[in-house]
Amino acid sequence: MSKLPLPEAVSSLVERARLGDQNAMGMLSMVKQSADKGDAKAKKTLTLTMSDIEKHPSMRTGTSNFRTAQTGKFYAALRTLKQPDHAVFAGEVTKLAPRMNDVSVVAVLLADGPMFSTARLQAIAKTQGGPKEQKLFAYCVMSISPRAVNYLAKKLPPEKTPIIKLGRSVGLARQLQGIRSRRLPFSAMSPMMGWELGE
Amino acid sequence: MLPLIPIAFVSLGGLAWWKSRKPHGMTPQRKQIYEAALATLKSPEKLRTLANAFEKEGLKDEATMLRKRALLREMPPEQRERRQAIMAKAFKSKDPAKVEKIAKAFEKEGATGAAKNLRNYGKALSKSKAA
Repeated sequence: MSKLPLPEAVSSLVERARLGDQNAMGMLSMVKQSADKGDAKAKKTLTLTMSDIEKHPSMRTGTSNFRTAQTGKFYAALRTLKQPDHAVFAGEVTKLAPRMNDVSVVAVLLADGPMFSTARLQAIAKTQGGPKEQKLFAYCVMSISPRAVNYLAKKLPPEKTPIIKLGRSVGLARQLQGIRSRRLPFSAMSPMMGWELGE
Repeated sequence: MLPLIPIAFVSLGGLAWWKSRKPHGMTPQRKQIYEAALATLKSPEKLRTLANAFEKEGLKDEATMLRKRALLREMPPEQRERRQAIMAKAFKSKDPAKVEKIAKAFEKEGATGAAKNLRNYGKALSKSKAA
């Protein structure tokens, strides 16, 4: 997976921390500690972080609403994502979806878009990097166990988090589309639900 | 006039005896078994056996729920098909209140897993609308 440029990486980190991502908060705290010790790279990152926070102040409006202006922008973009071209769609989804913390919300928005056909999934997988990253994405798409995916997210380095989040969002969206069109059994989303519905 | 003190003693003694005979209700261990049964137990016979055991301990609500789950597998094919169609329609809905209503109906029938998944969808739907 290609690395994000530093200002974008910092912006993403701030966004994640604002949405309550403990890893992001920990990383920002480490940056501050290293900067205090005199680490030049950490100092640069800290300056960029402070500048990003000043440029994009938090738009929280109460305890139940953790949206920011940026978050709203992403959701709006996701909502209108209806590119028929696989590669363009893959690029857009890859850019937008992993930046959001709530994979189920992204999944609901994606499920209203074009169907996640095998060709579309392959196009998205190709944008994720090498074979290992593509396999990770495919695993997260096909997994029906959120626990297994959460475990992976904890065990793998933070650079892989966007792939995991994207895979989970796309996977959930695909399940929703499959259930809505009755192309997938209910057990594709939850084996227990399938059992309860007599599959 | 009746001697009130002996009557009070006898009544209190009777109450204590009756209370000691009453089942102990939900313990943490039973709760764990119940939750595990809801999440994993798929055999109707086993569900009924567990329901009987819970009923013996005075846990009537839990026993009823377990019996309802056992019944889920014994529905005629037409009813299963109808329930699946309702569920597919619920996952298409854009109205979180409707989704919640259907989730409640499924929960009442003992389909706790389906209700949980539907509620998760409803929550995501509400959040996506708010965004």
